[in-house]
This record gives sequence, structure tokens and C-alpha cells, in this order.
Amino acid sequence: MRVFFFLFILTLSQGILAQNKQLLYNFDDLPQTLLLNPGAETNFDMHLGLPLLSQIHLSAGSSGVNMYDIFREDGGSINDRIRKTLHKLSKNDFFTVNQQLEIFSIGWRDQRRRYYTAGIYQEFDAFVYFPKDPAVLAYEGNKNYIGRNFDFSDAAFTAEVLNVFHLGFTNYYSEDLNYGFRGKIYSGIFNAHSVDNTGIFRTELSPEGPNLYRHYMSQVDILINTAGWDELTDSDATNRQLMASFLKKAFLGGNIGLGLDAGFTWYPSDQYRVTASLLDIGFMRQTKNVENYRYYGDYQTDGIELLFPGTREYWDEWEDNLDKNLKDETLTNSYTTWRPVKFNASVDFGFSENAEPCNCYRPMGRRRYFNHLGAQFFAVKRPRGLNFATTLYYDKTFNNNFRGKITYTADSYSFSNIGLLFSARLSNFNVYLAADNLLDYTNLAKAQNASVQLGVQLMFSRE
Amino acid sequence: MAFLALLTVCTSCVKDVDLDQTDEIVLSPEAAVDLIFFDLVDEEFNVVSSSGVTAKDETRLDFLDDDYIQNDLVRADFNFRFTNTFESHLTAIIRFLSPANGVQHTVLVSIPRGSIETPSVVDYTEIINEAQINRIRRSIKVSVEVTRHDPSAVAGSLQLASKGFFYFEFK
Repeated sequence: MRVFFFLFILTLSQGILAQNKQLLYNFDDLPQTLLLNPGAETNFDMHLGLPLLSQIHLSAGSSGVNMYDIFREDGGSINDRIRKTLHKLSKNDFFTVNQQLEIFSIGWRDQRRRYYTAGIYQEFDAFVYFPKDPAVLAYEGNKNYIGRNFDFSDAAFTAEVLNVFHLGFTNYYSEDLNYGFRGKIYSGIFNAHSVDNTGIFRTELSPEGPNLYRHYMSQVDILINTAGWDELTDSDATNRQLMASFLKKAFLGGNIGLGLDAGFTWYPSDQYRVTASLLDIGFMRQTKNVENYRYYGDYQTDGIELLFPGTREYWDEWEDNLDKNLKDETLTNSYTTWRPVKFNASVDFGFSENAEPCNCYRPMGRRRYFNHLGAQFFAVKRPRGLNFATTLYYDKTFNNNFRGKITYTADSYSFSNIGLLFSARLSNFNVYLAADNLLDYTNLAKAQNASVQLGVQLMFSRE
Repeated sequence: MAFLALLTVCTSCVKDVDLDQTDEIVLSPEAAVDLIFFDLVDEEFNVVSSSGVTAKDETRLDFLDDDYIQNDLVRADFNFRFTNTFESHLTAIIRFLSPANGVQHTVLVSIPRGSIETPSVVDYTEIINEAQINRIRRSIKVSVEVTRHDPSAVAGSLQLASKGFFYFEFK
């Protein structure tokens, strides 16, 4: 139990909008910007990612608590801090982990200046709302909460591991406008999904009833859908069998989904740039290795009534009645999950003109600038609504080889997120490293979120 | 590579915290639950003895055998509220029994005579502390024996309502 709680707290102890990649967005020296906006303009004519190394992304976060809140050395009791945190968090606080690994990535520009991309990346995404009422019930019990509802709808989470196969293009529509699309095939490895749960548990005084309390379980309907979970918990499977199964599912042998990214870049004038994108407009159909765990029903009890003389199996009758009214089922019904749709939008202003000759293969028939100041808006759809972030950034090209970007991001939970990206290009070899929440790196225990992206790749220009 | 880089950054920059405190984490929920209840009338006193007439019954409480009771229960408070409208003094004996019917713990409650117009109410709480908690852990049944000392006081009833407070420490 304690180990479980420790892991739970550690999970709580990191990051927020884990899928916001504000440092890579609008960074047109890197092909990864196309994954964030398929309509982005890019400063190269071909790229080839080094397999498994072209983008490694890790991020994690919590909206309401950090490691320091729980584990600080102040001579106090950790149990008091946990209790205080438990009451500080709300059911809308959340914990999230996101990881992406680019397995393969390639892109090229055609003679009509369109840029095509193709690739595969693996993603793990977990999003857990803090189950406030169930957590209080488990941690403190119901004794001090007589007459209060414990709401099971507080419990909601999604988690998935999948491979994404994608193919996209960016079209040079005019001097002022690029747009692009990316089609995606999702190949599911694991999925767990539990949202829209209902039900309350309540204990109330029962002055008119036969006993001192009456316990209620009302309109309970808790459903946990899983795909691939049964294999993970199959104790007979060898590691080799598990790996073979994962690989099969990773490469289109498991559950399949379809998705679309779309975006554009518009230049109202040479100095101003407006961009927007919608990512992962898609779904997955979970049909293989599916197990659904459902607990539902209504029940109330006053305890066990003794009828004298003692000839009846009171306990068995009580338990049978409970089982008849609160049912526990394991099913294998297929289900559909929607991917977390992401929205990006930005406007920026360029200054300090770059007077070097243009590359005529690219859609750049306008003035270019060494510096950009901009603002970006990000939103991601989660089970209970949208989560937002707003970023201000300064993007500076030092020379042909080095470029950097600094960001300040604010959201509902943090107003001190400073991020830094540095990209270097030596001949055709590019390496980049981006990290945010730098102010918290002096003591990550106090960070509520952190993310890092890095990668190496080959990039080519025709000039 | 990324993982190592992140791990290096994370472990080198986590300060002013003591993760060894995980050893001190204790979940200590306190559960309030209904137990048994009854409404006992004259016809149900069917054993005659020199001290009066007696009614007996018992029920299994299988949850007492569950892991969370066996491993993590540290204290239990049992509250019994008797409402007597018999015009007779009563004695109630509540026993916690092992699977082999061995008595593990006994609660004896003396209930004064009442009347239909003026019931006699006894609210009794038995606290089983940590030193005694194995008595509950060894139990699986609870029996109730009520003796009405004046067999002729047939009018009225004895009602019992009860609850338990269970104190846990999950480590």
C-alpha cells in the first residue's frame, strides 16, 4: 500500500501541459516543427532523422503538487503533508506523462516547393485526474464524513502506448500562405480508458431507520476499458513472447486508428507571421485484446438484522443481496477512443533583416529576419475539457550554424516557466536540445512540470 | 541518451527533500459501519432458566477474516444502543466467536427496565485497543444472548442498533 502511494505521489510530482512543445513550434530550422504544424515553413530541402535519435521527448507534470510539497525536510510529518495536499487538490487537478520517440523520419521538397514528410514515432501518453473523493475515502475513511457524498465520477484517466505512422505535405499556396496536412495511422500497443464514471457512496445517520447508519451506493457505474492489459498481466507469457506481441502490435498488427493534422502559415506582411494547427484529429478503434471491467448498480444497507432464533444465514443473504445489486463484470466489448486533439496558434514579428540571398526552391519570396518575437497559444482536449497554455518567445538566429529560442509560458498552474532551445548545424548534421522550466532546475523537487526534447538528424539544402 | 541526460539533471538538482520518508507513510482511514440490529419481542425468548427467559441468535461477519482486518486493523470501537420497553430488567451478552465457536471477546450490558411510554435507553461503547485487537482478528462470528429477568413482563420489545468504528494503519 505504501509503495503504491509513493509511486502515486511521485507521479504527482512532475509537469503540466505535457504535450505543449512551445520551444519547437515555429522553429523553422528543425523538421520537428512540421509535426506541430504541417503548414509550417521550413529552412531546408531535405531531412533524414537518425533512427531513434531524431526526436526524444520526455515530459511529466502535475497541476497541483510537487515533490517538495510532500517530501520536504522540515521536521514535520509526511503524513500531515499528504493529508494537507489531499485536501488542497481538487478533482480537476491532474497528472500527466508524455513521451515520444521518433523511430524514423524523412522529408523532401519537390520542384514545386512542396515539402513532403514521412515517418514513424512511438508515443506514451497518460493523463490522470486526481480522484479526490475516492482518495479522501481511502486515506481518511468515512467516519468523519457522515452525511457527505463520495463521488466516484472524480476518477477518470486515460493511458496509451502507440506507434504513429505518418505521411504529410506542406503546400506552397502563394507567397503569403502555406498550408499542410498530415495523415496518421495509429497502431495501438496498449490502451486504458476510464472516463464518465458515475456513482456516490454515502453514509448517513438514520434516526428513522432500524440502525444507527444507512450506507448508500447510488447510481454506481464505473467502467475501465483496456486493450492489451491482459497480455501485460499474463504470468505465463515469457519476455520473448511479450516482446514479439508488442512488436506485432506496434507495426499495425494490433488496434488501428486514423488521424489527421492540419495547419497553415500566413504572412500578412513580410514582418508578421500568423500560424495555427490542429493535431491528432483522430480516433482509435480498440477491438483486439480488449477487456472491460465494469462495476455498477444501486444498493443501500442498514447492516444485518437478527430475527431470533438463529436459523438463517444472515451473512450469506446480506452478501447475496449486495452482489445482486452491485454487479461486477468483465466483458470484451470493443470501444473507440479519441486522441487528445491539440490546437496551436501564434503570431510573431520579425526584425533585423537577413540580407543573405534567398533559396529559390523554398517558399520564401519575402524578406527574412534574424529575430522573431511572438506569442503562442496552446490547448489540448482532455476528458473534462480543454487545458491551455500561453507562451511568449524570442527566436534568434546567430548565424548559419547556430540558432536559439527562449520562451516564457504561463498556464493555470505556473507563471514562471522559462524554456530554452538551442540548435546547431554543422554541415548537414543538426543537433538540438530544448528544455523548459529552467528556473526549477536549481531544485527540481519544487517543479510541477518539466520537459526536454533533443535529437540529431541530417539536413540538406539545395543552395 | 535522453533518459540518461534527464536522469542526470533530475538527480543532481533535487534538493531539500528526503525520499526516505516513504518509510513513514501510513494510511490511517477510520471506517464507520453499521453492524447488527434487531427488534426482539416476547415470543422470541424461548429458553427458560432460573434467571428468566433468554433469546439467542448469531451471525457470521466474514469481513473480519479479510486481509485488511487481519493485517492493518489497530483499534475497533463497537457502539450498541439498546431501547427497552419491557417492564423488566434485561442482560445482553454479545460474544465475538472464532470459527470453532471459541469465545474471543465478551461484552456484557445491563439494561434497566423500561416501559412502552418511557423506554429505557442504554448507549454502550466497547473499545478494543491495539493490545486486544487480536481478539477481533481471531473472530468470525458475533452472537447475542438476551435474558429477560422477569418472564411475566411480556409487553414491549428490546431494540438494538449498533455500529463499529474501525481504525486502520496501512504501512
